[in-house]
Amino acid sequence: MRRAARGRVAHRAVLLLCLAWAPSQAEELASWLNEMNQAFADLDYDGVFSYYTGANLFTLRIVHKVIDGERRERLVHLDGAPREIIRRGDELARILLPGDQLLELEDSIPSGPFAQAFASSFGRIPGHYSIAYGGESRVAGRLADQVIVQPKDAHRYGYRLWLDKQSRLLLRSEMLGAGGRRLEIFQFASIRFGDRVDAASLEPTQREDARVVRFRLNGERSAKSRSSNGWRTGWLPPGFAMAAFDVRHVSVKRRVVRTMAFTDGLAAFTLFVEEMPDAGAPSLMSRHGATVAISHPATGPAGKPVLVTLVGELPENAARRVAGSIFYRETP
Amino acid sequence: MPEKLREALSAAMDGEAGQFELRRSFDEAGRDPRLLAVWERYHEVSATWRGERRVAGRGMKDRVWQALHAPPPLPKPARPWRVSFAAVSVAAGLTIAVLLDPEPADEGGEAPVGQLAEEPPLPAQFVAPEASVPLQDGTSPQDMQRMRAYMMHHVQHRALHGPGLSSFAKLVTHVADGHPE
Repeated sequence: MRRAARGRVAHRAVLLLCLAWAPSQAEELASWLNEMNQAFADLDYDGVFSYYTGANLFTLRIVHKVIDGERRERLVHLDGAPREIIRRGDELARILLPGDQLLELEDSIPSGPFAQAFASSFGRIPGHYSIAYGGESRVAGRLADQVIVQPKDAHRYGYRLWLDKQSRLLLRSEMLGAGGRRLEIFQFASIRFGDRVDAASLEPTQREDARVVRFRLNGERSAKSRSSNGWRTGWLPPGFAMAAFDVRHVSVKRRVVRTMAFTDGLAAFTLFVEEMPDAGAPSLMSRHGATVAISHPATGPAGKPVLVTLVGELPENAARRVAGSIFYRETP
Repeated sequence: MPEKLREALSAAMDGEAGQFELRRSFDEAGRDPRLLAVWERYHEVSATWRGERRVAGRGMKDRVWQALHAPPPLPKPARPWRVSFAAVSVAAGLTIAVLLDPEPADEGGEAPVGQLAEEPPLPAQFVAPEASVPLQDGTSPQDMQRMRAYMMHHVQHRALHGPGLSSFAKLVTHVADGHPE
């Protein structure tokens, strides 16, 4: 009896120790991830990484260096069509060769409320994810610590992150679906840091026939709204909230498209609402890696048919449910 | 010059080499001025045989590069839009803009190669990711274009403004601060 009682006491003591350890572990992981965030922005590094999504594998080289306090970055597509993106502060330049069918990027990307909206919603995240230490392993020839970000419901994806033990730079990440299925993998194959990163590596490849398209992160275009002008979602995964609403004119026909961006602070999706095209449009679904796209007919103001398209990093069921729940109610 | 490579260049010029071999041969030739000269000679001979005019001016290498990137002559089966999204890295923020690609990545030429580019990486512990789900057969070009454009919009904004790595940091910071929902 006495032995059993002693066993129970020991068991409770271990439990208490575990409970005491939990917050300190969370704090430790928090500091690691803060360092990871800083590492990407502040360190000088030059590496080759692979990116797997769906059935595709891509290989890219990234060179990042801070010169006189300004972030300089060069990203080179090493497979397929030669492409580069050069970044200098908020200025970006995309370099393509003739015949490259890369889709056109928007020439000016507002940098204001969209980012702020993401930042302001972090308070909701903890209820929907848990975080744990996954052990030590080796990535790109370097020792790494693994951090696991686990969703608490089926409405969002999870992540595994491998952080460089020395610099805390992210060396590998996986986005995970149900049952731990890998949806996307990012991993450095080789990387070097600090003085070994040559500033000359930031220079774009010189090609006579290259096409250069410039765009910038524009802080002035910040007149986006957090109000949806009557458009509502009948259902959202818990923790998601609208981050931005925008009305824009697209394509040569100047169609009006309403754009609503939602996030739980980590995952995000965008809803596009437009008048139903004259030729109609079927319900469509496609997924590439973790990114799903779903088109769905709905009813707009005055009973007019509209087309709703959801694009985002959401499990398919959740995406369908959100897209199917959109409705319009006039704002008083 | 290796005989095998000379034969490969010759086959390429005779139109007997596949795209892959053509690209590989050209890559090899591009690294060695002597091989490039042989390549050019073969091309001139080949062009003469076909009764084509010689193109003066720009270098042979550039013209072949361009030819390699011309659309393939045979019609391809309908492909889904191909868009990629690395949601978890700042690096991926720009990566995504580079990767957004309506065409298969394996149909282009080689990229301008830096010293690191010669080490094609294969991740350790690699397990193939979940396969994609393409748009169903018979999807109209307009519908495909619309889906593609919206995908681009979402990815571009998310990549450049989304939480990226910072989300993880702030996420756990909040846990540590003891402010659960």
